[in-house]
Amino acid sequence: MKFLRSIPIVIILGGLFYALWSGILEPSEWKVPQSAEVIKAKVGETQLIKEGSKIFKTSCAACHSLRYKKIYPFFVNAPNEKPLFKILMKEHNGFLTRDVYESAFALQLKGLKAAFGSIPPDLSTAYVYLGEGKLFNIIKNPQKVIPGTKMPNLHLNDRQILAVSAFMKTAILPTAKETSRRHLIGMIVIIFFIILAILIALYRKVVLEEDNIEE
Amino acid sequence: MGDKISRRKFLGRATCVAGGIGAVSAVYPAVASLAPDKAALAQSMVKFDISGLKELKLATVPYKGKPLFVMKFPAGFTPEKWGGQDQENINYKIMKPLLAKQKNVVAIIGVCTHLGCIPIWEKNGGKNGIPVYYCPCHGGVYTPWGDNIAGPPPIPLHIPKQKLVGNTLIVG
Amino acid sequence: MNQSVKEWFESRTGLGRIFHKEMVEYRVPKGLTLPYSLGMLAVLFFVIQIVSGIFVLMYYKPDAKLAFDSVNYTIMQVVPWGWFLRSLHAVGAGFFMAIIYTHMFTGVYYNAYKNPRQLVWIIGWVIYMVMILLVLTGYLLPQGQLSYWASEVVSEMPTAIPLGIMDKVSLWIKGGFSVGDITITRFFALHVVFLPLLLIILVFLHMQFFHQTGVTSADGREVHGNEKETVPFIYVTLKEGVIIAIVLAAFSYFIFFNPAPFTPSANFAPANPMKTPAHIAPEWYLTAFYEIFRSIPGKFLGFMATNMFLIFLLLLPILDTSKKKSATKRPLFYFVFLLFLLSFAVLSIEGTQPDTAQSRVIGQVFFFINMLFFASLPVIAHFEKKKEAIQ
Repeated sequence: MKFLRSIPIVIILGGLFYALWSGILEPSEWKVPQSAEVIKAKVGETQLIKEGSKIFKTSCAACHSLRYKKIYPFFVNAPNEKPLFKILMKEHNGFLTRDVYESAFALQLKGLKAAFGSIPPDLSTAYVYLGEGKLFNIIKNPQKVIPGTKMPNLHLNDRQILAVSAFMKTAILPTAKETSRRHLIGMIVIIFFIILAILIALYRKVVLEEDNIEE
Repeated sequence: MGDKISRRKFLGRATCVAGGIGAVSAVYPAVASLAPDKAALAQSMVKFDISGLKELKLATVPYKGKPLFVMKFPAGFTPEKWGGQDQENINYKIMKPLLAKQKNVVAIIGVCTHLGCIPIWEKNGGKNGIPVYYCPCHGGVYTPWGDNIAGPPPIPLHIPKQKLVGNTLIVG
Repeated sequence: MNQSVKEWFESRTGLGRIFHKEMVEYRVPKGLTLPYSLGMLAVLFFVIQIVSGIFVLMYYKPDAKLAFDSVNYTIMQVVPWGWFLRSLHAVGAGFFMAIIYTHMFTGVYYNAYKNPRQLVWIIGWVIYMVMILLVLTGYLLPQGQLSYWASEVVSEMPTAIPLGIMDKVSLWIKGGFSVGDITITRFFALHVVFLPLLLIILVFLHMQFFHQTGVTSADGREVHGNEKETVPFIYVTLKEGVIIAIVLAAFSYFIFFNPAPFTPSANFAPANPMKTPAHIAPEWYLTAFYEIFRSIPGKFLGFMATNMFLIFLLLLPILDTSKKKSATKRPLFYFVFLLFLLSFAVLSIEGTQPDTAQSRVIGQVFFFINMLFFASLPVIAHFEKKKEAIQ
C-alpha cells in the first residue's frame, strides 16, 4: 500500500524533472541538412577545424571578431591601427577584454555600425547561443534566417560552412580530446559514488543486525 | 560472533577509506584551479635586444612579473676592483663563462633575496664610490654582479638561465 | 594524551556535547522513508554551493563589460578546472532548488506544518524566499541575454502594484533606468555576502526548531520522546549516506557529461539592452509562477495570483485545521495533494513553452486546480472531524 501510494508522486516529479533536464522542451527550429551531416562524418572534425580556421581568418574576420580565439577584424591591421593593436595584444597576452577592445577601436566599430546598421557581433559564443543548425543556415543564407540583415551571403559551400562552424565551436566548447577526458573522469566519479553507496548500504546492514536495531 | 565483528570493522573501514578518497579527490580540482594558467606561464620567457646597451648603465625588463636587470660590464672586468677581494664572489663564478659568451652582458633577477623588494642601482653609492645595488627596504647591499655584501640578504641575487642569439638575449 | 586534549577542549567549549546530543543521540522515528533525507541533502548542496561559489568568486568580475568574459572565457577556458567549478555551481543550483522543492512537497505531504511545527514551516518558507532572491541575484551575474532580461523583468515586478511609488521602487532596485553596472555590483554583493549569511542563520534556526519539536513518524503519529518507536539519529545517517551517494552520482553525470540543461544556451549571448530574445522564460524553478503571471489577464491580477500561491503556502498551518497528520492516513488529502503536485508540474513545464492562447488556458486551468487544493483543506478537515465524531 505504501509502495502504491508513492507511485503517482514519483511519476509526477520524475516526469517533471525528466522534461526539464532531458532537453525535450527545446526543439530546434533550424537543422543542418542531412547532406551536410554526411560530409561532416566523412571529413572528420580535426580537418574541418583546420579548414575553418583559415576561412574564418580570411572571410568572416572582415567584420567579426572571435576574441576567445584571439582573432580580430581586419581593421586592426590597418596601417594607423596596427601599432596600437600590437601594443595592446602584448600588454593583454592576446586577449583584449571587451572594455579595452571597444574603447581602443571605437572609431572603427562605429564605422562598421554605420555600414551595417549594427556592430557585427563578436562570434566567440555564437556557436552555443545560435545552435549548430541556426548557425549553418545563417552562413548559408543570412537573409532567410535574419530578414533585413546586412550580412552578405558569402556563397560558401556546405563543407566550408561546416568548417567555419566547427572552428567556431572550438572558441567556446571544449575540444573532442578534452571532452573525452571529462567523460572519463565523470565515469570514474560516478562509479566511485555507486561503490560508496553499496559500501555504506552493506555496512548499515551489518550494524543494524548487530546492534539489534529495527529502523 | 568473532567473524561478524571483523566483518563490521572491515566494512566500516572500507567505507571510511572510500569516503576519504572521495574527500581528498574533491580537494584536487579546487587546489588545481589555483595554479597559474597558460597565459601566466607564457610570461616565463623574455627576449631583449642588447645592441643599445651602454657599459654600467642599467636596463630593466619585466620577467615573470618582476624586473630583470640587464647590465653590460666593462671588457676585462674582474671583481677585485670593486671590493670583490674580500668575497667568495659566488655569483661572479657563475657569471664568468656567461660574460665571455654574451659580449659582457648578463641579466640578473632584480628582486632582493631578503623580502622581495627591488634594489636600486647606485653607480657610485658604495664604499669608496664603487658601484652597488642598494635595497631601500632593509638596507641590503649587493655588488654589481649580485653578491650580497652587507645588510640582511642571506644569498646573492638570482641569475636566470640565459643565452645570446645574435644581438638578442633570451632569458628563461 | 588524546583523551586529555579532548577534555581540555570539551570543558572549555561544550561543542562535543552539543554535537553528540543533536547528531548522535537525537532520536528520530523508525521507518523513515526516502523523502526524510531531503533536508540533509539540501544542507549538503548548500555546502557545495558555498565552496564552489568561493572558487568561482576568485575569478569573476562584477562589471557590465567584463562579467560575461570572466565567466565564459576566464573561468570556463583559462583557469585550470574552472569549468568544473562553474558546472558545480550551476548544476548545483539546479539540484539545490529541485531538492528544496521536493523537501517542501514532502512537508506538505506529511503535514509537517501542523501544531507544534508551525515555526519550522514558517522559517522554511522564509528560507525559500531567500533562496529565490539568491537565484535571482545570481542569475544576473553571468551577464548573458537571459541574465539581463530576467533581472529587468523582475525589477519591474513591483510596478504591477498600482501605486505611484512602485515605479520608484523599481528604479531603486536597479539603481538606474535599466540594469547596469550598479545593478550588477549590487546584486553581486547581495548574492555573495548578505543572502548566504542570512541563509546560514535561517538554516540553523530551521534545524534547531525541528530538533526541538521532533519528527512525526511516516504515518503521522507523534513519537518524539518515545524510546520504543525511535532510533538514534546516527543509524539514520547511514541510510541517508546511501541516498546522498546516489544523488551525487546523478549530480556527477550532469557535471561531467551534460551541464547544458543548467546553463541555458540563450544565456551565451552577451546582454543586449536593445533587444529582448525572441523566446524567453525563467529557469524552471520559477516557470510555475511565470506561467500563472502571464496567463491571468491583467497585470495586477496576474501579480496577485502569482503571490497567492506563495501566501497560501505560508498560511498552510491555518488553512489545514485537521488534527490528523500525514497523507498516508488521509485519503482525501492524498488525492488533493496529487492534484497540487500535478498542477505545479504542469505549470512549470508549460511556463518553459512559448506564450500561446492554448498555453494561457492551460495556465488558468491549472492555477485554478492549484487554488482548489488550498481551498479544499478546511473542507477536508471538516469531513474528517465529522467522520471521527461518527466513529
